[in-house]
Order: sequence, then structure tokens, then C-alpha cells
Amino acid sequence: MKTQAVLELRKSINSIEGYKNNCANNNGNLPTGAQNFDKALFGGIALGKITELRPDAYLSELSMLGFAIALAGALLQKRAGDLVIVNDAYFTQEWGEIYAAGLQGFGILPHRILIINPQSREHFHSCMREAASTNGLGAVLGMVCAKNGFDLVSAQKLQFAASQGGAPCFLTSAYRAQGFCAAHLRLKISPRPSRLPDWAQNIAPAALAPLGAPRWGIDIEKSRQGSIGNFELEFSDETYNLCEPPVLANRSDELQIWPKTA
Amino acid sequence: MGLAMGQSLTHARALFPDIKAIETQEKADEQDLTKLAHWMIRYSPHCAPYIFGAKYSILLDITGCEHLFGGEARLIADILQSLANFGISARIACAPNKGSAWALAFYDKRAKNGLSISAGELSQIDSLPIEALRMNSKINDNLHALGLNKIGALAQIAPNALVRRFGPQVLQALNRTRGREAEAISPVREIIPNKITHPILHAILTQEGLEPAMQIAVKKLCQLLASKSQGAKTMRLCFYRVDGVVFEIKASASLANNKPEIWFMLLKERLEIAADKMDLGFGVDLICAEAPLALNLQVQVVDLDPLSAAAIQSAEAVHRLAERLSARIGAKNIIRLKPQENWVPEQSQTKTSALDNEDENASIPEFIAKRRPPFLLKRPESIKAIAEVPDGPPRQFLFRSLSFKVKNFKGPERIIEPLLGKNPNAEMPLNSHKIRDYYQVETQNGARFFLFRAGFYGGETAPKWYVHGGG
Repeated sequence: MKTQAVLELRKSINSIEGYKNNCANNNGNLPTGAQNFDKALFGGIALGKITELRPDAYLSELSMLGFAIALAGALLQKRAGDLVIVNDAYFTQEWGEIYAAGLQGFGILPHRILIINPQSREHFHSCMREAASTNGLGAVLGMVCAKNGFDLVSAQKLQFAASQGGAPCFLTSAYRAQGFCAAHLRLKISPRPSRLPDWAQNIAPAALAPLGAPRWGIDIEKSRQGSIGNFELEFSDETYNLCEPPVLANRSDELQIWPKTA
Repeated sequence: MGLAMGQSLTHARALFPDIKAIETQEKADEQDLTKLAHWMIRYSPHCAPYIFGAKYSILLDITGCEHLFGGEARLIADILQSLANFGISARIACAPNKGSAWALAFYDKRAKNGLSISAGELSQIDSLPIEALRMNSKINDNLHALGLNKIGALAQIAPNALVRRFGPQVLQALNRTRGREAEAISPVREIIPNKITHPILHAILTQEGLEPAMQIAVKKLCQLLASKSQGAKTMRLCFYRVDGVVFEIKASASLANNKPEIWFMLLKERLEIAADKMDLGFGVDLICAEAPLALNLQVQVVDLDPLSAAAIQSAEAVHRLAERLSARIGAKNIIRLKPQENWVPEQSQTKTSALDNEDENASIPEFIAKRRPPFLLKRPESIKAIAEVPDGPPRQFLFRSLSFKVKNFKGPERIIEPLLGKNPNAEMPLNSHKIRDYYQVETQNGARFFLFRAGFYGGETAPKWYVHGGG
């Protein structure tokens, strides 16, 4: 009886918060390609829900933007439709404009990108809501600076719009920006040094090494559906997917126990 | 009274000491005349303001329009009444050609109450003075000196004698007035074939009231377009205020269409934005809806494959989103990126409005795409760097007062002068340098930057390092 009452209560809370009938995601999940990460999120990035990305420091904002593009690129391999980016002047000034050539490196072709440049906070919020509620988009990426932060009501409205649209919806928040309270998933992003490519393992330590695949440290800070945890993810530019870097193992002991040949 | 055009102010004051002198504002007068001409488009699209000397007029080609107002006489009466309501006392003449109509309007006394003559009655202009021929004052003086004061007197002289004596202008002016030489009217606004007018019986005073009328006008225009199998790419609504002011709103679509609900939504959005600037005054009594850019609609094949159908639906959704948002925040703020064949990073893409879709799926060569960052600074930021000489990658650099040690790098990608000089960008301070060596670097903590060195170590000037992007 108590369980039933709690379930009813949860339902009503969810409906007030802008979710549909229950906590389970009605729009489904889309895997990113990194197995353990997807497992922790119960199948991947939730569709029709807001995923907030936050940097762990001011300088990590650039890495966070890179991760957002990589994540969108990985999802767009599995999903039709365009990537709608609701841009923000703060990010353009601090870290640059969206560069089509670089985005293609993450598997997003130029004709699949639609950029919206709202000129005020009200326009930013209304453009985000309009884009999130549109059916048939590949993904929506909004860049939120401190000035354009969402308060409780506007956050709920955006979450409701996203559940109508059904596309994966990301918000990249600036370091000092107010958190998005209605986020379904909140990830804290930090840069991580890349792994040396296999062919470059023997390079002398003093020399500068060649560049490996980009890598990020991901902290799941909040997840309404999955569990929390820390992950390290890489982007593979061969498969255009996110993946977990292989763990190096010391196999010298195993070599010793091999039977000697006569 | 003794006052006349061209008289000096001293002379006028000698006649009337209490005369009040006000300086003429020709530009303002011209602007007002143009505004009035815009309002007069309601009578005919071939409408143009015309100024000759100090005589201000509006030319209307009413061929085929008069029956819409119940005949020529009613049309003239309607125009006179409307202008009288604005406080303008106008003279109207309706004639088979521009020259004779102008001459009658200014020099025939009957024009005060509106005058209309047919081709057979064109000889009436013979009794008008030669000023009605629109020639310069010097020629007029010469003709007066010879006693040729009326058009009729001039018309009796043989054409070759007229040319020999007074030059070709006189014959041309005479022919134009008598309808022997055609004279075009250049309309104040382009003539749009896809246009409907929606007259409103009782003038509308509020924006809420305007919306249903607007909906009907849009529906009428969409029906017109549908009957021609055309779709509008842009649509314009003109609201005619009863006191002669015209407002217009315009919306553009990403895909040409003739769906009234879509156009109404876009135009309503524009109306809400323009509402602050629009003063409906004494009300709006006419709405004109026009489609300046209409295209033939292509038949859309319905795909039975669910994936293809989803792709079509998705493309349509993006177009609709772009239309809605451009109506709200302006088309220039909704952009798509178009790759350009250029090695210089900042010149390798252009921004186009999302509404100008050309269905070009251009992509960038893979080997270039893998060398470029996802974010590119508008203007490269100068940094201090320690690097291997003469042309090695940076080991350490100072960016925004923070020191970074480089761990990994990729490059250099050298971009040399001919390419930079080909399309110089005035905003970039770097084009004076001869080369750029681009490096993608990763710092010890994993942050990635797109750096370049302009120039070489050991050259005439020291090289400079810049951050150009990252991510």
C-alpha cells in the first residue's frame, strides 16, 4: 500500500516537473558508443531530456565545448536530422566561432548545422524552447553564459519543450553560469591528456609527442535515470564514436609462466 | 496679388510688408510625395511621384483598374475625396497619355473637380499655354517672344521647321503631349503579379482586430498562388491607414509554399515585433498581400520507406524552425555554414542565411577537417611562446596570463603568402607576414589549442605566435 502511495506521489511530482507519466524515459535513449558510460546512464543519452555539461574550471570551457561537439557527432551518426546550435556571444568571444571544418572532424557535415544567434536573454530562451520542441531534429545544443541562465520556471518550460520534441538536448554552461536545475543528466567535463598512438610509444620522453585522440574526464554529477560515476572518454575519428580508452596491463608476469620450450 | 514664382523676397516684401517667409524644404516635400505615392498604389500599381520644376504630381496608369472602382468618374471622385480628407487640394486629369494628363491637370481649370478626356477629345490641349509642354524656361521665353503662346499655335508649324528653328526638344515635347510618342512611368515600387487587396469596410483600430483581416488576406493570396501551382518564398503585407500612411511587414520562408497557416504564423510574428512602431491612428481600411518572390512548386514524392520519410520530415522541420525563428529574431541571425575552397582557416567558410537554402551538400576534404579545431577565434590572440628554432613547435606558451606546457603536437601546416594575399582580410593584422605555420597542440593537462607562428626565427623581424582556435 505504501509502495503504491509512493509511486503515485512520484508520478504526480514528475508530472509537475514537466515529465510524462513516470520516471522511465518515454522517448528512449541513444548510446554514445562508450559501453560502461552508456550502462551507467541506463542505455545512453536520454532523448527528449536536457543534458547539462559543465566545466570544472574556466579553462575547461573549451574542452567542454569540444566534448559537446564530440557527443553530438557520436549521436548524429545514429540519428537523422540536423544539429541546431543556439549560440551565445560570450562563447564566441572567449573561445571562437563554430568552425565547420573542425565539426566535420567530429563527423558533423556542414549542411547538417543550423546556427541561431539570439540577441537577448528572452530570445535565447524562446529560441531554445522552439528548437527543443521541434520534432525531427538530430540534436539541439544550447550555450548558456552567466547572463542567459535559466531560472526555475524557464528551466521547467525548456524541459517540457524538450520532452515534446524528443531530440537529445544539450546545454553547455559557462564556468560561472547558474546551474540548470531541471537537468536530467549533469556532466562535469575536464580535459585529460591524450594517449600516445601505438606507433609513437617508443618516442624519447624529452621530445614532443604526436597528438592522440582527444580525451575528456567525465563526472556524472546528477542523473535522474542512471547512476553517478567518473569516466574517461575518447573520441574515435575512425568510427566517429565515443569510446573508453583501453586499460594498459603489465603482462611481464604472464610471460614468465609460459612453459619453456625444449 | 502680384506674387509669383521666382520673385525675390525683397520684391514680395515691398508688395506685402507683413508677408511671412518660410524656407522651402524640397527634400521633405519629395519624401512626402513619395509616401503619398505609396499610398496611391491602392488605386494602381503603376504609380510614380513626378516633380517638374516646382510642380509636384503623382502619375497613375489606371488602364484596367478603373472598373474596380466603378468607372473613371468614380475613381477620380474617390481620389479627390480621400486627398481632401488629408487636407490636400488636388487637381486631377485623366487622359490617354502621360503628357496630356499632366498638361491638363496643371493648366486646365476644370481639373480642380476632376477632368477626364478621351482620345477623341485630345484636341482640347491646343488651348493650353506652352508651359504645359514641360520644356525649360529658355525655350518657353523664345517661343513667347515669337508670339507662340499656345500649344495649338505650335502644332500648326511643320515638324521639320520646328526642329530646324527650336531644336528637337520642342518637337519631342509636343509629340509626347499629343500622344504621338510613348512615355513610360517608372513605378515607385516593383510591380508584383501575385498580389491581392482586401478592403475593410470599417477601419480597424487595434492589432487584435487586424489579425483576422490579415488571415483572410493571406488566405486569398495563398489561393491565388495555389491556382498557379506556385509557392511564395517571401510575402509582404501592406496596411493602408485611412490618413494616407502605409505600413508594411514582410516574412520569408525557407521553402516556397502556399500554406496559409504557415504564412499567417510568420507574418503574425512579424506584426507582433513591429507593433511598437506601428501606430494604427484612425484605422486601417485596406490590406494588400503580395508575394514578391514566388516559385513553381515541385511535386514532393511520398517515400514509403520509413527512414527516407523520416529524413524528409526532419528536413521540413528544420526549414520550418528556421522560418519561425527568423521571423522572430531576424533572418541574419539564423545561419548555415558554407565551406569555401581556401586553405586560410578564417576564409574557408562563409555564413549564409538559413533561408537561402541552395541544397548544396558541400563538404571539406577529410585530411583538412582532421587538422582543424571545432572553434575558431574571430581574431587570433597574440601569445608569447618558447619554441624550437628556426621553425619548430612551441614548448611553452603564455595565453591569457596563464602558462601552458605543450606535451603533444600535430603540424606544422604551412600556409604561404600567395594564398594569404589572394583574398586579404582587412581585419586580420597578420597578412603582412609571409607565412603561417599552424600547430595543433595539447597541453600537459589535455587542453587543445590551434596555434600558429607568423614568420621565421632569424628573419628580418621576429616571428609572432598566435592562438587561433581550440577545442
